[in-house]
Amino acid sequence: MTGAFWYLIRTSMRNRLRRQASRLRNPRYAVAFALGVVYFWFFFLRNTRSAAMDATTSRVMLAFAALAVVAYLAWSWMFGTDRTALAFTRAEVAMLFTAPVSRRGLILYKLARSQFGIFVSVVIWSVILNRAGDPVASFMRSLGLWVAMSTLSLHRLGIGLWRAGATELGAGGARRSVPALIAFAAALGAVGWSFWSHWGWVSGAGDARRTFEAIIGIIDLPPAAIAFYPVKLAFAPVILRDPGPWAFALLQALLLLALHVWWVLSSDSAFEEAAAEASEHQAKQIEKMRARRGGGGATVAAKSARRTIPLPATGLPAVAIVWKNALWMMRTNQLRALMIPPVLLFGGMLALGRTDPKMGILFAVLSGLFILLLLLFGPMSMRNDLRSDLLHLPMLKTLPIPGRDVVLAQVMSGALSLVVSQVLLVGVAYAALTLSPGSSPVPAQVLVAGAIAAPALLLALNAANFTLHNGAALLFPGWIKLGEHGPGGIEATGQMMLTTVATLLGLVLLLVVPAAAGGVGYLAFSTELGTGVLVGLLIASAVLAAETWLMVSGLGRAFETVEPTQIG
Amino acid sequence: MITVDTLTKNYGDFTAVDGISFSVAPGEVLGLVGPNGAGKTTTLRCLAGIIAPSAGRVALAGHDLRTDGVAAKRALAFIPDEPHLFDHLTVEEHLRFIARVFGVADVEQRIGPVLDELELTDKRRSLPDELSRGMKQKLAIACGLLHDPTALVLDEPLTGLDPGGMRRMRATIAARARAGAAVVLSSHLLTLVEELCTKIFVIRRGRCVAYGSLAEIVGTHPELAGRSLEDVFLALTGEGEGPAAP
Repeated sequence: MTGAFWYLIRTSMRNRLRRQASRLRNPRYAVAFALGVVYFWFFFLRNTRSAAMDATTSRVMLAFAALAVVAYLAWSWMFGTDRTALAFTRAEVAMLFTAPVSRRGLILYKLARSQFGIFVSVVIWSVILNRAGDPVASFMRSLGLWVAMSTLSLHRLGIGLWRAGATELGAGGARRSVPALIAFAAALGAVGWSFWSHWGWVSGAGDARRTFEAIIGIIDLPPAAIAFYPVKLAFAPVILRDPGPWAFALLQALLLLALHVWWVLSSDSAFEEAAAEASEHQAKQIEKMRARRGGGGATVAAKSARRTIPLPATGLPAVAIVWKNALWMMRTNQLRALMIPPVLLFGGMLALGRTDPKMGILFAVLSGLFILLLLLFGPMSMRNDLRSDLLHLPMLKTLPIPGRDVVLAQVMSGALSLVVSQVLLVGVAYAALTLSPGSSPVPAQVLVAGAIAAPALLLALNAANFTLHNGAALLFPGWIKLGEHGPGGIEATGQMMLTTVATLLGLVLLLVVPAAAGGVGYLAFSTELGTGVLVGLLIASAVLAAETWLMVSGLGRAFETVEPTQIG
Repeated sequence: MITVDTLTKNYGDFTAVDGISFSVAPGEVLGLVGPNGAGKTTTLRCLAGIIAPSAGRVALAGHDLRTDGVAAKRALAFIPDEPHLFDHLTVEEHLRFIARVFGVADVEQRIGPVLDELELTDKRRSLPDELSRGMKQKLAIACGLLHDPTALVLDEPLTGLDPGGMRRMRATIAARARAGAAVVLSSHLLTLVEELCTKIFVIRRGRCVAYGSLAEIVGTHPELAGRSLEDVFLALTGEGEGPAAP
């Protein structure tokens, strides 16, 4: 069976690469690829004489990588990994699950298959991190990245298997994993204890640099150091540059990787058992259901009773698309999640910000930070637009709605939701600066001008950003993963990185003309500071909106010509 | 009225549909039949505006699909063999979505009867993943018929339906034609084609092999007189040349 799996992986990979290469015959893909290569060369490969990372920077990077990974793993253990951890494709489910293959064989296949994604990510990250121009150092880092990413990927899979087993078996499954949970709880406790007992270092640090040093110092001390040790072990070969320590660290990291392989493959027996017990449980449920049917006592599932949003039957047809996407956001709890930052910050500001001037500034800065985060990263998680709906292209194309309106509706669905949250955050920032007892560091007239212009500016910015994401999906469907969930897992970080860089670069380019126009507007009215700022921001918003409209119109024409065979 | 004039669709060097022409008047049902890979689905997708023809013209209810696509699609219902449904809309919300898109003002009066007719009333608040394959197909049919289309394009319309559903679907197609809709349906179920279609278009390798009523087709091929549609189909498409079934 291993031969069949190897054949499947090898031929799939070959055909996938061939397909990607054949896309380059399309001028659109060829130009984009060439631009991407030039961009990467210019920013990452050209500057080959920059300084190598010093020991302090390495230590800081390693500490923060460890913190981030521990936080991610803690989240995964508590709430589960994303859906991709245990996911198989439809064809795999249909053909491999019904084949005489053991569960262990399936897991082994999944491990092998994930290596392709990890390899691509390693290549991309190696290019990005390669600032020293030393081929040997690059190779060492790439190898370290491969070991670290593979270990993380295996850990995700292990968590997925554990959760699946626990879910299927209920208490029995949970008991089986008690040792793992105890170990993890002990690790978290150790970290918590270290921070608790040394919190004075952080609170007395004074500035940001010393705060970082204090955090790193705490992480480096036992018992937190023991908890972070496995994560540092996995990432040390990525950071270290001296061959001796690097080789020793790599050996340890490989040992950790081997332990993960053993853990995941030994989870296999539990998984098989879980599947068998789940089948029995399901059979019992079916029997119960049949018994209820016999008695005529079938009940309507509570799941069916859903809240909805009213939609008038008449009006602009494209509004139906916005409505559909709003329901999607409501049912995936994204609308609620968007309201959490402004509500929490508003509550915090009311409780703390009105007594201490510094707290007022802090809440304003935090609000601004959230606005920026939502702007930059919101479109990556809110994919209820063409990135999902292109999978329904045949249905969308039969609707009597012009392509431009379809694209606009898809763009505005996400943009409007983000703008509501961001405008509330602007309100929090405004309140934090004006209600706090001290004098605001921002002049009052600038605050008022900013608050007035914020809705228009944020709408233009978000619409432009969503247009870029939708445009990428529409023009390069072969390069963008379509569906509600974007590419997931450690093996997809390379693709996510490329998408992020490309869209951010696009947004920066789009902002050049609006910024210039806004600057001219500001200068024209700069005798009155508030008026100048307001006029500048409104002009910039209008110019950005005009650019976005031009893009939407172009994408509308592209939508009308795109065909299902070009998707996926 | 559905009019197709010298429709051609190329994929690179490959010609999937090669200059076919036909017209379907109100009240007529055209059966599009042909072996696998003959170009049926490509033709239907061109008719539905999903893909653009490489050459030729398609008009629905007098509107050219290329130059006046929105007006043409207002008259259209396309029911594919594989239903495309939105994961987060319930059955009823799918109908409300379609009503808004097609401007069905009296949607409140229509939803109930449509759901009753397709036995989906109990599932009106269910999401697609809670529906069986047949129920999904019924929902796709309900979405297609909600706005009283005058041009109906159906690709294997009975796929996934239970016997009762098949019977009702056959009756619905016939009723829509009697009410004045022009219908094009593609199916491998030749009994369905024989029962419902007033005209037949036999396509093979993207080209028209035969077009007209069954009597007209047989008239041009006297050697097929008295044979079933299945025999006629196999003879015209050359599909009957393999070994006979035991």
